Parts: sequence; structure tokens; C-alpha cells
Amino acid sequence: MATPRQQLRKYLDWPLVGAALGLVACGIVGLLSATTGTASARVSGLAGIQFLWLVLAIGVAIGAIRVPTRFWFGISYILYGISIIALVLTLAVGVSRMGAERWLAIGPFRFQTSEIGKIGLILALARYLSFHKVAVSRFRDFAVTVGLVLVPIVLIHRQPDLGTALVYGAIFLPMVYWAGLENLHLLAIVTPAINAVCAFAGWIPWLVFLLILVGVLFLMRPPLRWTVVIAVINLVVGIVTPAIWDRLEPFQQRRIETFFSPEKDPLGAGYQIIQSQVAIGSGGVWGKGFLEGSQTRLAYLPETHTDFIFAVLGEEFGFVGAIVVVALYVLLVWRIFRMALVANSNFASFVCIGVGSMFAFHGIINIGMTIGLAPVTGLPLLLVSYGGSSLLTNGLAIGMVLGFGVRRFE
Amino acid sequence: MPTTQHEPGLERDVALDASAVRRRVPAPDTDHKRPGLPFPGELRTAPAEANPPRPDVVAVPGQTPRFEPRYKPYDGPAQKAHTIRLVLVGIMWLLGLGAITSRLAKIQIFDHEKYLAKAAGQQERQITLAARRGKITDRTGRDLAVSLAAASVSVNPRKLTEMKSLSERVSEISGEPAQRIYQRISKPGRAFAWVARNIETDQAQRIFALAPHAMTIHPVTKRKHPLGGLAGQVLGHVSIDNVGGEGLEAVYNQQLRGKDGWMISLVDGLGEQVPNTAQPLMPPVHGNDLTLTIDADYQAIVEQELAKMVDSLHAAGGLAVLYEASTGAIRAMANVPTYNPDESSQTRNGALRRNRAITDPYEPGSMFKAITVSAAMAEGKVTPDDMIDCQGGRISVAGGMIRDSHPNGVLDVRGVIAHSSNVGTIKISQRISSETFYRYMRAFGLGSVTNVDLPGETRGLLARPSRWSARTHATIAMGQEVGVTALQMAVAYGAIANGGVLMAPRVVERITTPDGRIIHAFEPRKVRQVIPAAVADSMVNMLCGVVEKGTGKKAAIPGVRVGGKTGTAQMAAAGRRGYEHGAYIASFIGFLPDMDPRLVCVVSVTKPQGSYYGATVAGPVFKNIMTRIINRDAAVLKRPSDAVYPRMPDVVGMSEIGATARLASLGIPVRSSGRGSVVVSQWPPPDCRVSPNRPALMTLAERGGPANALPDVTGTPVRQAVATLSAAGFLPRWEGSGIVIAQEPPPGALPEPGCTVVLRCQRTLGTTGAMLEPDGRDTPSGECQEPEAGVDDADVVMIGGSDVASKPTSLGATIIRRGRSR
Repeated sequence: MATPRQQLRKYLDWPLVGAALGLVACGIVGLLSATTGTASARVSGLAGIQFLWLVLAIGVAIGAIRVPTRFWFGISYILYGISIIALVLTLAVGVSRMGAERWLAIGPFRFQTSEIGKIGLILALARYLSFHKVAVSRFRDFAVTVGLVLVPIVLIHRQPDLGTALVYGAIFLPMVYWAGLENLHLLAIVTPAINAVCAFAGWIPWLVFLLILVGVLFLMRPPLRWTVVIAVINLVVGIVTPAIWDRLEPFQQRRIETFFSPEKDPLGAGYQIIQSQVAIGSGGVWGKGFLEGSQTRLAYLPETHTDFIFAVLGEEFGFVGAIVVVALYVLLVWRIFRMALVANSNFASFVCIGVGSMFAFHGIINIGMTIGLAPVTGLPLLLVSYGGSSLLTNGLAIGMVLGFGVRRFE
Repeated sequence: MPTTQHEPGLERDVALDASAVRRRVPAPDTDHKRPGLPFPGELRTAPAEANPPRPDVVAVPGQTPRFEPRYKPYDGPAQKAHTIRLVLVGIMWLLGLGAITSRLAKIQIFDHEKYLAKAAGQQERQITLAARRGKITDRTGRDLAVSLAAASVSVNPRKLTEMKSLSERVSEISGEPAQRIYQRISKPGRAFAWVARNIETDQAQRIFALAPHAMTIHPVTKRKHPLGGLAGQVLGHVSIDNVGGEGLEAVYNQQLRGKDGWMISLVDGLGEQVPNTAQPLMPPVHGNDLTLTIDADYQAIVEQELAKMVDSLHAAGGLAVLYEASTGAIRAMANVPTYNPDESSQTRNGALRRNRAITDPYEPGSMFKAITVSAAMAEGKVTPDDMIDCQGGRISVAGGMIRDSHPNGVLDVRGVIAHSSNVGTIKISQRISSETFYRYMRAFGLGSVTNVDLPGETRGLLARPSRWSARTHATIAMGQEVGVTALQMAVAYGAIANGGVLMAPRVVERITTPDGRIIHAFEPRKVRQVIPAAVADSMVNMLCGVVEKGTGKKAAIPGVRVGGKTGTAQMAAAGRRGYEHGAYIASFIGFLPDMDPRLVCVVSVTKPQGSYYGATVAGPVFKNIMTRIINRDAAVLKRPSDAVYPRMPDVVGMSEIGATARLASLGIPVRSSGRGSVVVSQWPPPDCRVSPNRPALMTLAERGGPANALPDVTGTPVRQAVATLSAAGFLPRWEGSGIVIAQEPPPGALPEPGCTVVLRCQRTLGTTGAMLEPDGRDTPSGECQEPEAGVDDADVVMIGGSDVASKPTSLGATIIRRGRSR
């Protein structure tokens, strides 16, 4: 038996550490650029603060590596409970900024409760799914998992923060699939969502989707019962979508509309998407150079330090820089998913899937948003965007995953 | 622990398989805190359990376990089956990442140029650095029109919520009707609209404060006229876009407006301009200043006196031009009612802002008689002392009867002019042919534009003799059937006052850069010798008689001898032949001082009510104007010839030193040719007026030598050579033109006086000098127009624009100089 120290050195997933640190480094470079020379006192000096958060987050991660798996297992429901209470408190007494209540103030600190909520959800789901009696293909057990995820989703949606609510969904689906959800059942859950998006996009995408659905059903040859269920659900969604559309907040409607046609309102809701693409596109292959990005310098880019930090990097470091960030993200997610395969317990495996999915979803939606592939959802680019609570939470998550790796042979 | 029942339809469920495995794990989830015991999430991971093979995998035959402990060494099949799910999830994420990568490649590599242009397009803005429009000053440097800093305010209507109330509040500040402002800013779909243009800077600040988030202040310049509407019609106005409209502002727009510069400014995402020193910059070139010949004092006097009379007689309007005969400088040009270009209500009135002194021809009436008589005198058909029978004031012309207003008997020509006898003038005019009469009128500048540097000038109405009716010759003689402008009349009388030399009228003295460097100075320009100087002088004398004892008594100024002529004409009816009943133009044109006059002033009052005679209406205006001008500046009584053009002394026979000193004392530069100490000939001849700009020429010979030694003229321009030889009493002939390269007999020879000297000439580039300037106005003979012998002997005078002047020599031979037609 190797000493813990030797074990740590031997089994620590260095590529994962490297990917995470590389992304944070990219983030600090982007932050420096986004905040240098800006008149706004709100953002100047954020890079330094982010660096302090990074030191703190590394400490949290190192601590998390040393924590035994059973500890996470033990506190999972408690953490879930705490995060739900925090979300409720956020709604009640949260700090409001830009029309949304997402922060909970504890003394001088503001904490974005939905961040820790993600970890709470992942741990709780992992614990429940790893419980030996649980079978997600059984309706009762599946309903429990849905209940676990719906509570925070509803609470966050009330903030309102549709993007983060979607993250919870994106964490949930791979985890239950990994837990053994039937393909058919997955189809029944996922197709209505895609259906709704296609219905927004127009008649042709909707018809294409329907054709693909019919083809998939034909190939899978599910029992008649399920065929009927999937067909009915999809038809209902197709009809209900306009009704839901009417219930959406105006800014949510605008974001979705703008996503499909940003040029319709170049100075209004489409502004962010257009400016971000102009920034990235004008960067070219090699970029304009550090602190030389004119879109960033001249404040054409919105929210450069958080949601649109990828655009800053894309403008100043070009295609090469952007691909480096994407590659680091691929490496990060791959190592985390790989950990799901080698972990020594179901619980750890589920946590890895949840954490990996969280990073993957954030990455794809955020980068996709900056280049016009995804709607503006307000999701940060994890590890890169500025945000203390986010960085701490992600440090914790990565530390957990690394810890599972270190202890995979115990 | 209860055994999990396999539900129908869920046999293949992996979780059930897993739970089957877990059944063998002894600890319930409540036990997980016990050290050493695995908690439920932990599957067979304790080293103690690590070694046994995986019986559970094969424990349930026929089923594919998918959710399994993940020990690579032991879990080959199970892991493989399970990994498919992870691969599926991974593929999903990879698809997303692939989409991102391809999209990045598209916008960063393939569409890079497009986005780069987009970025530059929104970040860079060309800012115009407006050039300051040059100012217009009178001849003494007083500002007539200047550009002052002003401001325009624009708005982005998209940023406005309350347009109606904003329009009203802007209207309170700018004075523009709120409705008009509202219409401009409420046009749909616009991101730019003017709120107010060319207003005072402090007004702009107050308007800007109404909606600072949506408005922009643009610094501009605004044309201001510190002396109000003084000479408004001459100056013209400047449009809101800094383009001169009418008047001098239009003619010299290019000079005045300068050239705008530009700079590239960076604009940030909030629309604010970012100071930027790295970008290129083109500074503006400010407009040049105009200095006019107009004197603000004179202009004010003329406008006031004219307006006084127009008001007192309830006349429709009045015109006056004050003109300096010897230089062609217009000292004042007034149109009543006056017009102030600062008043936008007036700038929209086309009739008001028209400079009628050059745009509106009218019948001059009796003012024209001086032209008629001058022509006949220049032709030698009449002298001032000739007696004309005025036939009791009636004459039959082409079957019609023309009458005088006051019947006259036999008058001399002076009397005809003094009493303005129609009959007498007609009889005098009948002594010259229609063609000759027409030629003289054209020579006086009538029927053609004066080419003054003002826009919209008309050439008046003067038909060719071939189109004249039988009456026309007679009616034109007394100033009917001919249309002239006030300026044309002033210029024509200027020729009479200026010794017969017609000067080109001009209103701009010079153009200077803002820092005072002269770009162009407009020199007095002689157009032509219209009538011999002697004729002009005797006509000046006759016109003085008009004021002394004729029709122009009301224009007389005590103590100053002035000349002038009245004119009363009916106005042509609008839109039909004939005259408008009861509509008269009362005119007076006069000059002072009496000999070699400096200032000519024409005054015309349109449609005076009550009195309508030129003598009673316009005469007093002339008198008042001139009296005030004399009181202000007695120098106008000095004859220009006294100071500006000295008379050439007779230096023949003087020593070279003495002659040079004599000429130098008069300010006449001199050039000598030949060798010797005694002046044997000179040019110009004695008593001619000479310009201080042109050197006189003297030919030298040795004292005691033959007085009529042939001077050396080689190397001199042919005209000078001809003049020199003529003055020395020889008869020059020349071949070719340009510079004399050889002469026969050679210099110093002693030929018989009056013998022929042959000159061979060649045109040499660069050496011809000013003497041979192709416009023919700078020749020395041009400055010496006063013939020594009687003008009546002159056999050739003016024909149209090509001037042929006679020059009697001391021998009585006539050298005919044929000027180049232009």
C-alpha cells in the first residue's frame, strides 16, 4: 500500500489538472484584457480578485481531493437540502442584479446559490442512483429523480435564470442515462424538447425532425405502447409550444427570437450576438494580440468579463486561441468522463458523469452563444468567466473528481 | 433485505442487475458510517473483495449487465457494454464541439474579412473638421460678413420617448415652430434628425440639456453681418450647408469656404467618440478673406440717403451705384429696400435679395443723351459750340412727333445737354450713322455685361441697327428703346469722367489668406479708350453746365463744381409693349470733382409717387450723398490724375542726370537707350499722363552731336522702337513683330529727318516683357491717350472691342496702332 502522498502523485489525473488550470489561466488573461482600460470601476481590478478566488479554489480542490468518497456520499442529501434552502432564500432575500435575483449575500460576500445547487444536485442524484434498490427504468424511482431535479429547476426558473435551469436538466439526463435509463424512455423525454425548439425554428426544421423521429422509431421498433406515447407527447408539445411561448418572459422571448434571427434587431436584443461574432470573426487566425482587441477596447462587447469572455479571447488570440480553449475543454470533459469509467464506486461514477456533463453543457452553450450557434442564455464559461462562487464550486467539483481518481484502486 | 422483484417488461434493466449484485453487499446504507465497511455506493471495492472473480456478471445468464463495478482488469465485457452509453453521450458532446469548431473556422478564417470590415465600419468614423469660411471686409478692413461659431443639434429619435413635449421645449429655445421640429424628429425608422441648426452655442447647450442621452451638438459656423444688411444684395447669403447663395458669397464661394479637413475618430459601443491620436488627420484649410472695393461708410451713406427719398416719395424702390471712374472700383452699390442676409425671412424673398443694380435693365431716359452727344463729338460731327435749332421743341421722326418738355429755340450743344432737349439730341444723333452710333454705345459698354464679379448680371437691351425701326435711332438718342443697368450707366459715365478710358468695374479689391497673405489683388483694368480724352473732357464740362444752369440744379453742391445729367423715363409695362401709365424711373447720374472726376454716382428711384422728375427726385439724393461723402472725406475732391498719374514733363534737350532727376521727382521710372549725356527723344510725349508702374523711355546721344542721330532701338519691343523713332522724327517701318533685332540704317547714322527706318523684329519668348502683354492694355501708348493735336483730325477711333487708337506724331504723320482683337 503506497503512502497517501505517493498514491496522490501516482494516481492524480495530471491532464485533468492541466486542463483546468489552463482554462483558468485563459480566463485570467481574458479578464485582464476585458478590464484593462475600461472606465467602469465595476470591472477594473477583477482579474486580481479572480486570482484570489483561484488561490482559494485551488485550496478547496486540494482539500476535496483528500476527502474520502464516503464523506461526499454522506453529505450529499444534506448539501442538496442546504442548496434548496439557499435557493429559496435567494428568491426571498436575494441580491438583485440586472433583473434577476441570483445572489445570496452572506456578510460582505455574495454567493450565486445556483452554483452550489449544481453540486448538491449531482451528489444527491448520484447517491440516489447508486442506491442498490433503485432502478431508473421503474417509474417510481425515475419519478424520484425527476423530483430531485425539478425542485431546483423550478426555484431557479423563478429567479429567473432559464440558462442555469437548463444546466440542471443537462446534468440530469446523462446521469439517469448512465444509470440505465431505457433508450426508448430517453427518447420520450428528449424528443419533446427538440420538438419544441424545432417548432420555434419553423416548419421545415419541424418536419425534418418529425421524419428523423419516425425513422428512429422504425429502426428501434419499440413496443406499440411506447410508439403511441412518444407520438402523442410530440404532437401535444407541437400544439402546446405556442401557448408556452406566450407564457415566457418578454426578455426570454426576445432572446429566443434573436437567436433565430439576430439581424432583425441589430441595436436591440441581437446586439450582443452580432457584436460577439464581429469580435471573434475580426480576430482572424492569429488574433489582434493581447489588449489589442478593438471590439473589447471600445466596449462593443457586452459582459466581456463573464458571459462573453470567449469573444475577448477569440478576438485577441484568433482562431488559434479559440481552438486552444475548446481543446482544453474537450480534454477536461474527456478526463472527467473517463473517470466515470475507472471510479471504484457507482456513486463516484455518477458524480463524474454529472460534473462532466455540467462542464460540457456550459462550454457548448456559452461558446455556441458567442458565435451565434446557441441563444443568449447567460451561462458563463466555467473556469474561464469571472465569478467567485462559480470558481469555488468548480474547484470543488474537479477536486472531487480528482479524488475519485486517486482512490480508484482502494 | 427484500428481494427485488423483476417486473414484467423490465427484465433487461441494468439497475436490477446491479441491485442483484448489491444484494451481496452486507451493509445497509445506514451502516456506511461504520469504519471499514463499504457504504452502499461502494461496490466491492475493498481490497478484500477485489480478488475474487466476478461471479455476479455471469450470475444472471442471458442478461447483459450494463451497470457494473468498473475495475478495468476484471470488468472487460461489462465495461464494454456499458461504455457504449458513455460513447453515445460523448458523441453528443463531440457533435456540439464539432459544430463550434467549424463555426469558429468559418467566422475566423473564411469570413474574417467580412467581420473585420464590420468592426472597422462601426468603430471608425470620419469626422469632418469644418473649414472656417473667410470673411468679407470693406476696403478699410471693416467686417461686412464673418463666420461665427454656432452649433447644430441632432438627435437619435430612437432614444426618445416623448417627442411631442420635447419639440415644444426645443421650440421655446430655438424659436422654430414646434410642429416643424416634431415632423423632423418623428419620421419613423430614422436614427438621425436635426433638432435645430445654426443656432447660438448657448441655445444649443440648453437644447442638448433637454435630452443629453439622445442628442449631439455639432459645432458649425454661422454667417453674421456685423453691419446688418449693409450691401446685403452685393454680399449675398450663405446657405445652411455653407454654400454661398447669390452675391459675392456665390461668386467667391470656392475661395471663401476653404477646404474641410477630416480625422478618423474611434467610436465606442455606446456611441461615444474616443480620443485617438494614432489615426491620420487632415487639418482644414480655412477660407480666404475678401477685401472689397466697397467702402462701408459710403455704402451706408448711399443706402440711407436713397432710402430716405424712397420712403418720402413712397417709391417702389431705388438703386444707386457709387463708382470710382479712374480705377473701376465700386465704392457703394445700394438697392432699396435693403436686405439683411441674417434674416432668414428675407433670404427667402428672391425679389428682395436680387442685386437689381446689375440684374434689372431700365430705360435711362435723358441720362443717355451724354452718350449720344459724346459719340457725335468723338466722330467730329459736332463741337460744343455748334448751334442746334431745336425747332421750338418738336421734331418729326418717321412720321411721328417727338417733343421737348420745355420748348427751346436755337441752342448750342452745351445748351442742348443742359436743358436736355430731345429735339436737339436727336438732331445731333442724326449726324452719325446708326452703325456708328451703335458702335459707340457698345464701346461704352452698353448691351454687354460689364463682367463685374457679381452674379446674375444682365447685358441690358440694345438691338443691332439692322433690327431698328425708323424711329429707333432717334428714340435711343434720348434714352428710350434701350435698357441699361445702373452699373452699366455708371461705367459708361465713368469713361467720360476718366478721359474717355473705360475701366472694368470691380467690387473685390483683393483675396487674402486668413493670415493676411495676398493671393490675388485685382488691379484697375482698362478696357478701352472709348472716346478721345479731349471729347471726354469737354463732355465733363458740358455736364457740369447741366448742374450749374440746366436741369440738374437741384443736385448742385455749394462750393463744389459737380457735373451730371438727369433722366426721367417711363417704365416698360410688364408683359406687353409700351409703357406703364404713371410709372416712372427718376434718375440722376453725376460726378465730382469737375475736372478729371474721381467719383461717379448714379441714383435711380423707381415709381416715385407725386414728383417723378429725375431732377427733383434723384438729384437731391445725389447732392445729399455727395455732400456727406465730401464732409466725411474731402480727399474725394482731389483729382486722381494729380496724384496717381503724373504728367510727363518735356525732358528732350535736358542732360541725362537732369532728366532722370526730374522724372524721379514725379515718380516716373525711366529707361534709357543709346549712349550719350543728352536726351534726344522721349516717350511718352510731354503732358501725357503716365503710370508710375511703366518706365518712360528716353534716348540719349552725345552732347554736341547731331540732334537727329538715329537712336539705337535694337533689343527694344517694336512698339517702343516705333514710338522712339517717331518721337525722334523718323518714319519707322517694321517687319514681323516682337523685339527689334536689327535696324536699317544702323544706330548712330545721320539720316535725313523724316526718312524711313526699317526695323526687323522677332518674337522672342521671355523677353517681350509687360509691354507686349497680349491683352493690349499695358502698352505705353495706352497711358498716353491725350493727343496733342485736335482730336477732330483723328480718323480712326474705337470699333467695338478691338481698339484702334490714333497717335499723331510731332511731324503730323499718323501711326496707326492696330491692337489685337480679343
